[in-house]
Amino acid sequence: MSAHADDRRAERPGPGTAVLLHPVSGALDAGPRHVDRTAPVERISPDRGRVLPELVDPDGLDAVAAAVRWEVMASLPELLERFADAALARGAHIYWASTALEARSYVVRVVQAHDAERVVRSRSTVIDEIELRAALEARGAAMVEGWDGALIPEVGITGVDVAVAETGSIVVVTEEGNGRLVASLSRAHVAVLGIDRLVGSWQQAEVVLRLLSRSADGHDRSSSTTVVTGARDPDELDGPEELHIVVLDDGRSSVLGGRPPEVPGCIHCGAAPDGRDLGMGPGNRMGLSPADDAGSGFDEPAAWQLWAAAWSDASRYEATTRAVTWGRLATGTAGHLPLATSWTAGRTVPQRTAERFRDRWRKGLV
Amino acid sequence: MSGEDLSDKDLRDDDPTWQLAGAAVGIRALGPEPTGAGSGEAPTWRVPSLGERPRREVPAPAPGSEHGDRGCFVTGVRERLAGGVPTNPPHRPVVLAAEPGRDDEADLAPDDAEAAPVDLVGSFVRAVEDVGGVCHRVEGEVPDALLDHLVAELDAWEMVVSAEPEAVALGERLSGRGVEVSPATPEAAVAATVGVTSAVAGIAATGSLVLDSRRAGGRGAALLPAIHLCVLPVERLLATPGDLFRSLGAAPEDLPPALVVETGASRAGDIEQLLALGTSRPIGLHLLLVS
Amino acid sequence: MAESEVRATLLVTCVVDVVAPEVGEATVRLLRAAGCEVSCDLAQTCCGRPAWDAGFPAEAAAVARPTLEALEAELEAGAEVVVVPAGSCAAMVRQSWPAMFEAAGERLAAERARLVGGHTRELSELLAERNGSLPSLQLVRSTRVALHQSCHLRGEHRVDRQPSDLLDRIGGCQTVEWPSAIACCGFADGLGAEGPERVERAARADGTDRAEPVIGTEIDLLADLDAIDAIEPDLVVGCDTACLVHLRGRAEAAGRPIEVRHLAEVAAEALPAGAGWR
Repeated sequence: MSAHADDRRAERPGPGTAVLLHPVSGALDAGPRHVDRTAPVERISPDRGRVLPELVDPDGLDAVAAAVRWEVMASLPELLERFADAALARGAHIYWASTALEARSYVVRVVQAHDAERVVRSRSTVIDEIELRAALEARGAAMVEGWDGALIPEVGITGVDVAVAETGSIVVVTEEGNGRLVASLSRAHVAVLGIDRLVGSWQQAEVVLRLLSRSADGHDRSSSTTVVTGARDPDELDGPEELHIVVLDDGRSSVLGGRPPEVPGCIHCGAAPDGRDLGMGPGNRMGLSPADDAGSGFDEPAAWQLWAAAWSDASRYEATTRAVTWGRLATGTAGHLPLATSWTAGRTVPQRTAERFRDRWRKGLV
Repeated sequence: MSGEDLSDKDLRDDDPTWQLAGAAVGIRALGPEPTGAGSGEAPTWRVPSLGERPRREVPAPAPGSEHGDRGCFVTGVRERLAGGVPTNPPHRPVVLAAEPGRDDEADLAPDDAEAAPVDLVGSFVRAVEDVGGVCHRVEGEVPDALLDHLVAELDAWEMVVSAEPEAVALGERLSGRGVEVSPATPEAAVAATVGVTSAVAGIAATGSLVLDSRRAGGRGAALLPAIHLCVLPVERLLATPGDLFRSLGAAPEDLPPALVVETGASRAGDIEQLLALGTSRPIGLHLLLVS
Repeated sequence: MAESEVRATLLVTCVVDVVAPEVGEATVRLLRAAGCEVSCDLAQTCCGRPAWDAGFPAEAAAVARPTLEALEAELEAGAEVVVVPAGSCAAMVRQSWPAMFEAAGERLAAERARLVGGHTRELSELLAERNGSLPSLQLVRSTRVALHQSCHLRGEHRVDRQPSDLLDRIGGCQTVEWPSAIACCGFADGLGAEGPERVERAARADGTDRAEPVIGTEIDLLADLDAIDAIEPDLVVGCDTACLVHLRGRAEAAGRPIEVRHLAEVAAEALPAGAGWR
């Protein structure tokens, strides 16, 4: 989003860091999550068994926005095509960029076609994401945020807050920055659209826009919302002659496709990043790791190496588990994991037999 | 594909786009129901008619060009959305049914009562003032005395005027009172003290103005001069931003190249940092609210 | 009606193998009753989940490797589907193995894991796919059942309807609404480390004789149990032995024991006599 609150990072997520989809605003956050387990946690209401978004979402807007997101995801490939066709019909140029590399290559080509030395940008995480600055500088063009001299920049670049397939429109919301200026005063307006920002209809767009404004900093009441549909009319005195919409995937479809984020310590319980949206019950959270439990033994590499040494080989697995079942018979406690002694103490597992499943299988008893 | 517009008829009422999960809890399929203004339901905003001025024939733009590989891109998205292996669709969030007794609405998420003002004019005026604008209420013609007062107070002897008929008319009157008035080319707009426009709508809940670049013949008059002087007939007031946005799908052909919802005047401090052109964005907003 | 036979291979899982072999047996019976020919390659060990959840991908991959190889061998020998009587392990194989092997630097294994993952089904997921093949299920005694859905099954593996669908098909089985159905049992949270002790410490800390969890996001144990008391199920049922054992352990520690059973056991009990035996 242009100059919006989530413009926290200029760094592109590197390999191994988590890329998380904010389910409500659709913004992609980057960076590993850290969960402070010492922070007091609010009591959960006794009523919590009902998965009610309204516990934290008094006007139900989050819930509707989540529903909108699911609907959009269900038909995203079709919406992409509808959007493109509608935008093309209004004279916009479309570039399909599966990767950041493709996106910035296209932008560089546009800049070169306009022989521009300078690109005026509005602040947007997606522009940082595609690492455009370096690519431009390598070709003798600077990326700047202000104007210097000429009122009309040859090339201006913005992100897109919401795009609407119904009419082929893109929406740029500006709070403090210059998105409206860039979109109005560039000869060629390049808009980078992450596919997670696309919705089907204006009904859906309205929900998302309302949510965006709700999360905006309340102090700054001035703002503008610019709905751009195609390039300018021939008889308009100003406005971009060219509109280039770069439709960017860059891993979004994988994240949207539901692969759990690879966060260190994530137990993949499926609650991430917002359990409500996945229909998970309260109490789910991510970022849990036994390794965080200082003193529990679970953060000891040596312990896991021992475990791996035992179980990375079938015959050693057989030997250790056989011993365990005998041990269980003797003590009446579950101790098959060589580590969790504090866990296993106090947990009784009725032991009917010393036989494991595999023993019975071998004997033909199954 | 040239000339083909997406319009309501391409998204039928039973189109999955409208369906929400949770049929078991009594959610209706919500769809776009075109409503006329004054029907008692949520207003559908449409671009006001141009009055005496005949509707411009806007030539269809040359279709844009497409680059990259659409097929590969979309197929890749489809596959990755599916996760590559068969998985169940994730459990969908339940959307609560409308409260009993609430009127059926075509909206996905109707604005709540607090956000949707009943007294449009009063709310609009208050909201404009909250964001630092000045509202002048006018009955019928704008009095000469008010024009003189504004010109003197703003020390505004150079103005640019956008192409809306109301703005043009006001520009002619200002010209008659000694102000230098010119069309809003970018160069003229940057040099002018005041930009005169007429908004196609106002939003009472937020004190926002809605500006249509096609009607205005451009964007600069509202954007570049330090003062934005805008004529707004009261009948163009809408209650909430939602009333505007929800209606945009009804007539895609009416969507101009740029439709701007402008709230308040910008903070001059930011602009000084961004622009080396002095105060080149409205730091003052004066509204002529005409009944 | 009966569908064609399917050759299934069993990933029994270490927990079932060692702690609850009866769940494995019930699983095999059910699969056979649903028209599957069931094989099992005992060169498997474990899916590697515990180390993966703890943040040790190399160790997890080391343990998962023999299991991957065993499943590959089965698929090459003609098995069509890998069946897993545990949501956590099914999720691990299908959703997380590729990432785990990649994190351990084993690109090729990650690709092989993707292939195996595509053939993998959690038990209730497979039975739902083979909907027409199960004989009618009827329990001898009417039983009130509260269903626990594990995080991994529901959130990671994305199986949410199939367990309850299967329960619905069991005559005499009455599912009771349990608010904690989809709440995390807390097992994977430190592998439930310090479970009973944590609860005791908390009770001492605030001076009451009620055991409250110290860290609120470990599930509000007492609310769970209050809810159970209110609905009085005969059984708490789930698709993950680890969760069930953990829930039972915590309930016992709080002095309010519950009965747990794996879904496979309940369904197998409901099979016609003689069905599913070789």
